[in-house]
Amino acid sequence: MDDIRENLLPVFLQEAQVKIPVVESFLTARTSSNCDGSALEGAYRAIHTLKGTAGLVRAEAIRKIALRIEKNLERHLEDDSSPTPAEYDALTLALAKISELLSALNKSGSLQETGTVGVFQALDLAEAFSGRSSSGAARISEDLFAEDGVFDAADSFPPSPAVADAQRHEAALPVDPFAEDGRFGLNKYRASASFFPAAGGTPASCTDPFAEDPQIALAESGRSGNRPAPEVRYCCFTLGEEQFSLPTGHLVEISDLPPVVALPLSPAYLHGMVNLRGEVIPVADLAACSGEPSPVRASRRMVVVEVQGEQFAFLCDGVPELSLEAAGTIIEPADFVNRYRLSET
Amino acid sequence: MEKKIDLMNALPAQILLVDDSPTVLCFARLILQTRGYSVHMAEDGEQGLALAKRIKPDAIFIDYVLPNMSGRTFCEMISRDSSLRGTPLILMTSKGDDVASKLQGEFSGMRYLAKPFEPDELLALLELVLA
Repeated sequence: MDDIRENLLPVFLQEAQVKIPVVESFLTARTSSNCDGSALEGAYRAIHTLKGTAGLVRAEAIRKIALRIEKNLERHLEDDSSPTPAEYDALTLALAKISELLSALNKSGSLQETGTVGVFQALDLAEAFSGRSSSGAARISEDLFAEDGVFDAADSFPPSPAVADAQRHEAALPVDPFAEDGRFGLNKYRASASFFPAAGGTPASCTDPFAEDPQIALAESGRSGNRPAPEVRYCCFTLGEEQFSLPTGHLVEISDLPPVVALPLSPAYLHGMVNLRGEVIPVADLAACSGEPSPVRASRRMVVVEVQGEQFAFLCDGVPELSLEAAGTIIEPADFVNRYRLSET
Repeated sequence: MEKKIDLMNALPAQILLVDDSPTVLCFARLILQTRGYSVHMAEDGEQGLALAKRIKPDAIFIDYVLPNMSGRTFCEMISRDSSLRGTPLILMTSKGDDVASKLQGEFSGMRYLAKPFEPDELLALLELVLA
């Protein structure tokens, strides 16, 4: 029966060439009201079929992305609504990824599930902006975002006619939702909603800990004197009234806190998601692990760590210090991940 | 090649596939033809209904999401037609068990084949309804 699947692949690719433009056409039109329900229904049918046929040829990555698009469009069909601008952007990104995978499948005859995580994160975020969860079970008001101080509820409203018109004329398919070239629509919100750092600006206003920290200055002076540099072992920071120390083995960087997008129904210790130069990573609030979430301070930063290839960040107040000695509670990032399962957020 | 013969008519069993996806139609057709079934295909419900009235199939594989006429409407039309009533219906869908169960409740005897399916699953269901 394997030869059947081999014979099926050209048929699938040919059919995909017909279905993709149907969805693409709907996404490019960007109707802000569901006055043309047939376009939405056509797009839904097309992506539904693509999902099913991708499963038949075992193109799992395509099937999974198509499933997410289908679920989103299905909810809008049921609600008699249209995707929000953020959803349009994320859906367009997802469709572009499918096209990319189809192209790879056409060339090599096989698929690798690379680069799909960003697509799902973009869809998660877009659906969270619109008050939708990926499961479709939760509806969250914009107030949740407003409380965080980084969400401007006005941006959840339909765009102005001028903006909508500009959106309608934007036909290029994006590749990366947070690409600095600004092709992806989410970049458009940077100016108005400050969801993400300004495109083209200093990437995430990254602070170089080694340029400012007195401990490192000490290390530098040690090097210049041909003495072995003291081994910096901890990154110490405060959050609220508590002090924490992270072993530097997992430390990636210390950065200013970019605008945070709170995730509806997320646990208290998950402060939200941030876009760090194109990578969407979770930010943990350690104070919330032991009690109340930390009070909002103006001088917020984050300490970015990496565990098993996954990056995430810890919220902190002020400027963290790199130190030889631990202070306060020692946080082992790997243990933290295991305990709070951050890698699955 | 093993031949599946309808003993009543001494002819291969006539199977109707109704699905708007050429990939699904091609996949199912190739599977069925390896077992000697006579396969007829339609891309939507209206075409499928016209074909069913003409060939009087021994079993019908029907997609749930179809253009022009939904899978449910197609099944209703089949059950209303005295010459087609009782024809085994096999619902092919990726809409999930809930949708399938609901439709199975409406049309007694309907079988459910979840997409994506394996060749063996399709053949096993068909043999079950033809037995």
